[in-house]
Amino acid sequence: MPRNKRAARERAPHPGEPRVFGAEAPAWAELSGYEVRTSFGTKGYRCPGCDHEVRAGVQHLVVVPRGSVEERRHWHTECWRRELRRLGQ
Amino acid sequence: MEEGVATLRFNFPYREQGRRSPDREPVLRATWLAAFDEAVRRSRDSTRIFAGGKSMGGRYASMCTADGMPSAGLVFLGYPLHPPRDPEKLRDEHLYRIEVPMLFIQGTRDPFARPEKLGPVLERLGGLAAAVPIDGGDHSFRVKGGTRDDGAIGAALAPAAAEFIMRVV
Repeated sequence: MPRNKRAARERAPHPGEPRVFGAEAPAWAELSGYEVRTSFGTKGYRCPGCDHEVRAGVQHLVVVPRGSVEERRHWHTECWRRELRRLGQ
Repeated sequence: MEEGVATLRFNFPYREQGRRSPDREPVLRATWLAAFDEAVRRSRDSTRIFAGGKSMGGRYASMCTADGMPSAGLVFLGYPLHPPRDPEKLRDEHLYRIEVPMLFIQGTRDPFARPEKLGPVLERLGGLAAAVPIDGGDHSFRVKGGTRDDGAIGAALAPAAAEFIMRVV
């Protein structure tokens, strides 16, 4: 059972797509059409929510349009929370 | 617009819907193709339609053109050549399949296209590529300590784009 669970977690959302790293995000962070994962960045990213940096090593969320890993964006957890509230989710 | 070039502007669906996380690739591509079709429909000469966009919008214009969208040329406003912290991961493969002129309007401080990474790409594209470096500009062409709003910043780029278009057609 643990093996299967891990296999499921590591499977790419769509065949042929590189898999997304990180654990599944909490339920509140879900948005239809997107896969949301938690991540500890190693590089530092630009958050689309606040236009400021997500520093390397800070736990944050990666928002991936389903099947389009290339268009993933790294969000501060709080910025994503605000975004969902803004969208009325 | 003032420079004597008619324009057709559009947003991707996610922007129209107020979201800030992009649509899936097929949606982005389909939006470009639909917008281009609309431009063809409105145009008197469909062989002179240029495609361009800011960042990802420009990148998808180039990807569609590489795959057969019949644009006469491309104008990139801040081409996202690589992720900011990953300058080795270049998104340039498809550019070499494009057979129309391309203009790269690019801030010299743009973390998505370090000058030393863009240079060799332009060189490899040869005569098809031209570049307008915006001194001190970031990915949105803002300069440190600058006071202009984004509208004014964008408007200031129009003459360079228009000049390129006029030179090509």
